[in-house]
Amino acid sequence: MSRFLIAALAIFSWSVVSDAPQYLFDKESQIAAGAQAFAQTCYSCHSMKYMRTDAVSLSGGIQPDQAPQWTEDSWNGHPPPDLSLITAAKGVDYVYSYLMGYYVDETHPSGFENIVMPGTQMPNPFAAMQGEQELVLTDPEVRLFQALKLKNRGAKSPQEFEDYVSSIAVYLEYASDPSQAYREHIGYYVLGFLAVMIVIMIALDLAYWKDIHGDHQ
Amino acid sequence: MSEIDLKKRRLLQLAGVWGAAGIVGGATPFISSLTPNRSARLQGMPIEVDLSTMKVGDQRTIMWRGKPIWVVKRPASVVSSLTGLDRLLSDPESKVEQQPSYAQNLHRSIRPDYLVLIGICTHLGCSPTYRPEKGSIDPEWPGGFFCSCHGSKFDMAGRVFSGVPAPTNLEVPPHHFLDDNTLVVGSESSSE
Amino acid sequence: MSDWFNQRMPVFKELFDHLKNYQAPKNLNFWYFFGSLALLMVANQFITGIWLLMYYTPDASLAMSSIELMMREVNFGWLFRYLHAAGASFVFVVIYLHMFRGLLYGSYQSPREILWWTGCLMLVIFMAEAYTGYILPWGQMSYWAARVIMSLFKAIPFVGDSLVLFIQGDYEVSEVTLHRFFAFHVVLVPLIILAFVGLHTLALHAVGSNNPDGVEIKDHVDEKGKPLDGVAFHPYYTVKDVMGACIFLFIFLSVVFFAPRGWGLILEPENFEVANYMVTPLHIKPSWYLAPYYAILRAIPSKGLGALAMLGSILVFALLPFLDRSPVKSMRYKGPLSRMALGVFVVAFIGLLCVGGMEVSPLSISAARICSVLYFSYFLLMPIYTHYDTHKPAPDRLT
Repeated sequence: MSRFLIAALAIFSWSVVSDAPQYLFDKESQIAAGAQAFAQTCYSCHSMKYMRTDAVSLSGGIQPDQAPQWTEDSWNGHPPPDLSLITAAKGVDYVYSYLMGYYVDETHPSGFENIVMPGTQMPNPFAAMQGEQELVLTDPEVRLFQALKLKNRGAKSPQEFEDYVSSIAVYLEYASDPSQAYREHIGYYVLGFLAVMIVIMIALDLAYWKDIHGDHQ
Repeated sequence: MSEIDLKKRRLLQLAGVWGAAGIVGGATPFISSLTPNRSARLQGMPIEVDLSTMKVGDQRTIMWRGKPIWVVKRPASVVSSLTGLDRLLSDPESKVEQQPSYAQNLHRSIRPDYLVLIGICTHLGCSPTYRPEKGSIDPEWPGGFFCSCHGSKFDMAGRVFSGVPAPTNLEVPPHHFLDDNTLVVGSESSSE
Repeated sequence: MSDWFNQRMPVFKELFDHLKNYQAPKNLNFWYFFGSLALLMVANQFITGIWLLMYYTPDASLAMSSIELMMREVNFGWLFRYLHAAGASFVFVVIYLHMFRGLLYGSYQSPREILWWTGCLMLVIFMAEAYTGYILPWGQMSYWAARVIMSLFKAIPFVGDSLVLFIQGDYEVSEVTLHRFFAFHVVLVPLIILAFVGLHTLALHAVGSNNPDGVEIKDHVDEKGKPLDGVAFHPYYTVKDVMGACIFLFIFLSVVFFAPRGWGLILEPENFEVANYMVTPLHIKPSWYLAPYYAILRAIPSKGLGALAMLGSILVFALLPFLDRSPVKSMRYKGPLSRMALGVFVVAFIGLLCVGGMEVSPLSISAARICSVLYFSYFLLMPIYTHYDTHKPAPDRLT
């Protein structure tokens, strides 16, 4: 019970100082790497149904005909959710922290507990990759990742693993709104066009209203 | 014309031109969205057809871009009988461009045995039926496709008979063969 | 060519002649943009709505996926969705500022009572349109907001329960409700909005625009009957309104292109999860533009009285023509009490708006109660403070 309390405190301190994924290399290749990582690690259980025609997702290996299918009552009534909109619903920080937040806890049926979502149904998919973390929280004021310490290393170095998880989080953020890059790109043109239109219209307005203000004075 | 009027007119013209450009730009997304969406475009991509199970005389219908595509494996006797029909047909030499250039020949196909057609009557868009049996439509019927909507008749190469409502031969879609038993409908060569 | 057409069908000629002859006060300031901007935003909602309608499926299992797939697979599909969703918020930004202009310059006073009332009714109609539209994506917030609002109707004595069954067409908000709200949102309510836009414009053209001085320009006319302080609507105000529209579009499109979810105010995070009948989101909050009324509802610890106060907070606007006893219209000539009252009202409204989106806590409830009292005081004490307030004499003509 006290462990849950500690975890709850950790969530509180985490929500004050967020641990957002870092854009380590250019975002496009990070998204592509994330799509591949997603296909390897997540796609066996989690579908990505709104990205069925997305070029980045398809070339990353997220093929619609291989999408996992679950019935309502599988996984004790909590089938793995579709993740197309997960960052829109929960935020990218949440997803990143969740994926980074598994630690060893023998009382949990799967042997791992999650610091962000205590009691999660999802088994730790990264045990071999990340190694095992343990909870070392002593001071409730510390940030989330000071609460967890790597006990033994996995196949990836801590930096490699962080890049891997970051790329998944960044891909999921992209999946929640693939229009973003193009939208912002044309947004500058739209606003630039309107700025010119505003200048023209202000000049025209002054030119028309000159005679009205003129005879008033 | 006073100076202020001239200035006003210039500005009005500028605003008109810039505003018109804005309206065109603003309308572009709305019009562009009406074209087939990405899902439809992906479904409109070339499709592969496995021919290994087809026997001589078989006809199969597959769907490509929402249209029925017929694949017929014609017996050699049918192919050789295509020559004798010229006087009954509107366009026996397929001069009207209803086929890719590689199918502008007597049998209207790449391989003489396999006929590939879009199964849509060139009259008003019904889908004709495959009637290979001689004499089944009228005593002189040589076998072919019959459109029951308005009575148009086509031979075993999709060529239209004269004296029926349909104006042109049935259309041949772009297609090619990957190997002996694999047909690709929707593209003309493997490189595409 | 244009002569040939005009002689046979003078629709454009009549329209331009009318706008050229229509006299507007020459001292209208930027507060007068918001009427034409409201029209612009209604047009935006109509056009983007038609485009969304081409792809949306009003079916509980397909509603959200039809929208999300449209945003990804249709060319510019995301644009229509964001224009429509952000547009809904901006409709309310514009009409709240439009109404504030009315409070500021006394536009509800004689002879503009009916003009004001058609506007008040339009506020209610826009809320109905926003509410029915909000349900259509069938996300968690859509669904639970629908249930919360539906249970408000249950507070109506005697008929409440059966009325709710009648409106939602099922024992709980369900697919049936989704279908009929879809019909309301895309056909019924838009038709009513169109009719009211017509009535509002007709009433405006009968009485003419008010102005920041709150004096009638029709009282001083030249020998031809043209108001001395009037200018032709066209070209003077058509040019000005287009200028205002461009400035407004710059702000609106900045949001659409760079922050289309509006930091959770336009598209809430909770609404990206499909409706689940069994699980309520931890924190249900209304859209920001309905938050003030929701805060008043929550401030009162009685379901019936709370619903009544909420209804009253919207309808009380319609009483303004009777409540204001001041001999002048514009805040420019009203005294310190009226100015203070309006200031307090604005603070209370914004306070309610913020509190309505917060989670329930003792602090937020207290704040909501104080703001609710101030909100209603502005209206209900108006006969008293406008009666005793001093005022400067309004000028004879526009300044």
